[in-house]
Amino acid sequence: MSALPLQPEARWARQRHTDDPDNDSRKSIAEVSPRNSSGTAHLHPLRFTGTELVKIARLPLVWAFIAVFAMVNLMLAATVPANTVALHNYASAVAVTIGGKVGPDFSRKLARVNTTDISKSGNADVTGDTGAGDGSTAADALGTSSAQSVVGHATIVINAQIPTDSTLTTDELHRQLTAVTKGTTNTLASYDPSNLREAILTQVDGDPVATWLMRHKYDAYAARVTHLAATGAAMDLAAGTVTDDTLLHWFRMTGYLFFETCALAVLLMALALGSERTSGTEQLLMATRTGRRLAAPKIAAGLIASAVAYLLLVAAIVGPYLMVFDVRGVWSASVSSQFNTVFGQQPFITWWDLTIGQYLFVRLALGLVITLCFALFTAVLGLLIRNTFAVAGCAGVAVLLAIGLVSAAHSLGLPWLAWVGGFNPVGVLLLREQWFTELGLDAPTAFWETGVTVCSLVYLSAFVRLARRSFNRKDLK
Amino acid sequence: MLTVDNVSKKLSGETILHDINLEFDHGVYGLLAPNGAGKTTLMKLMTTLLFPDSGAIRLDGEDITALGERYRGQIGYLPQDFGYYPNYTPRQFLRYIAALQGMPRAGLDERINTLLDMVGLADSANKRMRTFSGGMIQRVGIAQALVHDPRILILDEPTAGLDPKERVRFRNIIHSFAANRIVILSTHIVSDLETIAGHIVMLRDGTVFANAAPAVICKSMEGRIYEVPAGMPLTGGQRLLSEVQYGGVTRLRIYSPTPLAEAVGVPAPGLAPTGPVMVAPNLEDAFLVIYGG
Repeated sequence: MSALPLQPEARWARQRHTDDPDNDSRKSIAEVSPRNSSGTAHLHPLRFTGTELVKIARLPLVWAFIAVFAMVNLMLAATVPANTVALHNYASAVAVTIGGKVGPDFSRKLARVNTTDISKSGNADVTGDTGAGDGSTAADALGTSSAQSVVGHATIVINAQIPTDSTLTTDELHRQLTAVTKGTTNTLASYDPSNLREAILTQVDGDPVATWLMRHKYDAYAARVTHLAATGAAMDLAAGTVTDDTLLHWFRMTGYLFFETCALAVLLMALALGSERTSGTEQLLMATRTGRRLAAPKIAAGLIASAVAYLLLVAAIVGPYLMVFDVRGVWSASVSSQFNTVFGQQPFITWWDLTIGQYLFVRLALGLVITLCFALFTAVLGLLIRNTFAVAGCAGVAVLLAIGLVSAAHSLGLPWLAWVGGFNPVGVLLLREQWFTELGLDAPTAFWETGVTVCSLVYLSAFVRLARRSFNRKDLK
Repeated sequence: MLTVDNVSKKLSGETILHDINLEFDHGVYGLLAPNGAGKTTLMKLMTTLLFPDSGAIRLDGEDITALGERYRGQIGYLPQDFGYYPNYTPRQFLRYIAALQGMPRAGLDERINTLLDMVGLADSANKRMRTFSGGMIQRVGIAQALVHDPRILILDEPTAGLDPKERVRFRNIIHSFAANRIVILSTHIVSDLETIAGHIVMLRDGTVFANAAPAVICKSMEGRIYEVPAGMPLTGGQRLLSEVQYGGVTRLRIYSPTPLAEAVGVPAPGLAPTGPVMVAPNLEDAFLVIYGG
């Protein structure tokens, strides 16, 4: 018989349940609360949207990107040549004071404004009437010039926000504005849209459907020209070369903005859907009662985060821009003013009446919807791929492919390929310089950018729904 | 009752599980198999993370895929690779999991306090988990699996990273929990299963190799496990299982398909026997014999 000491396993077996001195003091699990086993109340997953938003907001990478983009936007908006600001603000102040419609009456009033070179110094803002005929000028505020003139027996004071570092004198500002507005006529009344129509129809000659579409579009275009000619929109002071740089500046800034916000939307949605896999919590969360339905609040959070990021970056542009530029007199002008053109070649005819301010606002609104489309597209990828970096990479590749397809279609003279290939948010972004206008051969119909964006929203939402169904049946390895 | 009916599963073209049939009723079930045998795959199938290629898993006769949230609300799951949010405290994490499990807020804080106390994290309830050790994280994982008092507990390697005292605490938790519930756990620490599992399921080559109480599995090895002197050559199908130290003397624990002549005579006090001695088999012996030592 073995005299071996007691086998380790047998000795250890006698030790079960005896090593925990605190055992008696603990409540059992069952004593604390009733079991919530199957649950009878339906668990609505969207209640977790706030939690998912907080998860995104806690990621330093997100704020790093927003901060960099906001800084870029601030710099773009605020660092404008002083002379550009001076020209714009002087024109705006004149429009506010003597009216924004150019023509003989405007030119007469403008001619009566006497200016003297005002020293741009001093801290007092002097405005108001100074009496008739004395020709005196007001001292400057910090960056404020004013000019006085006598028209009849009334005094007109023009208060313009002129940067102190502008090298342009008030005389020069006045001279440039006078040059731009002198001898203007209602150009839309004399504009013949048939030239443009024929040029486009020539390019689609031989394609009956495309020809039919273009005919309809340019019939509507001609009607718009007639309407705008009747309203005198061409005579609104947008100030041409005096204000061109600022409008181009705005267009350029918003172009960067759209790139930033679409990239952010891809990142935010990719993080929203891929973060659980990255943090190793996917298996755990998907096995809970909420389970795969957590995709819905994640997508909602990605969309909300994209919208918030968009608004933050817009604020980084609009805020500084409005602090630097006096937009009252310019933004109230019709966007179809003769001073605003499509690449200097044809009038900027929009499909409905818009002021410059309204145009810029709807431009930003469309940009927001496009940003949300990018977020939805990324949601589809995120549900199918479930890896943050792979999703972002695939989204980038898809964008490049779309750009390539549209560019190739134009080069090859294949308008249908361009229209089909551009029937997505990327295609709309490629046309951002001329949104809400006739868009030439790039658009077969009126409101093309609007229609494509709305359709994109619809079909991407449908794709998200399909992707969710696929995700619900997917092995989560 | 949770039943696995003729379930097969392939992953990346390779058959992981083939025609698995199991029944789980109240009590603790241990899944025992080496790495890559399909334990985690089976557990993921039972938690609806994976879907069977054929067959079905049913709870009380209803397919768990069709039950959906009604089934998932009844399971508590601790994955093998338990992830967490470093910025969360255990309390925040348990509240979040509880919300995902549809738990009402009433009484939740008290329950969380009890659970954290049960797993020895009461003092760390409000500390961010990025400061936690691996064992502490694992204890949070155990707590979250219990937060909604599930009917079925599925734990994949639950004692990984736990020190011996915590493993004892864990075993006590499972014992108190399993009275009228189903607990399915997998572990490589065979001794954990030996003390808490009333039933062992052993997988091999994608199928169920053994499905019985630990004592029954061990009994099948009776008469075949010996301790022999270290220098004794192994022949005729004999296999080395482990080495055992008795003071300064090393003896080999082996499996022999044929009976060996045991040492006769009682050795002097303090001396090890000089020949083979038949010993009672344990679950580790069975593991090593079945899967290769």
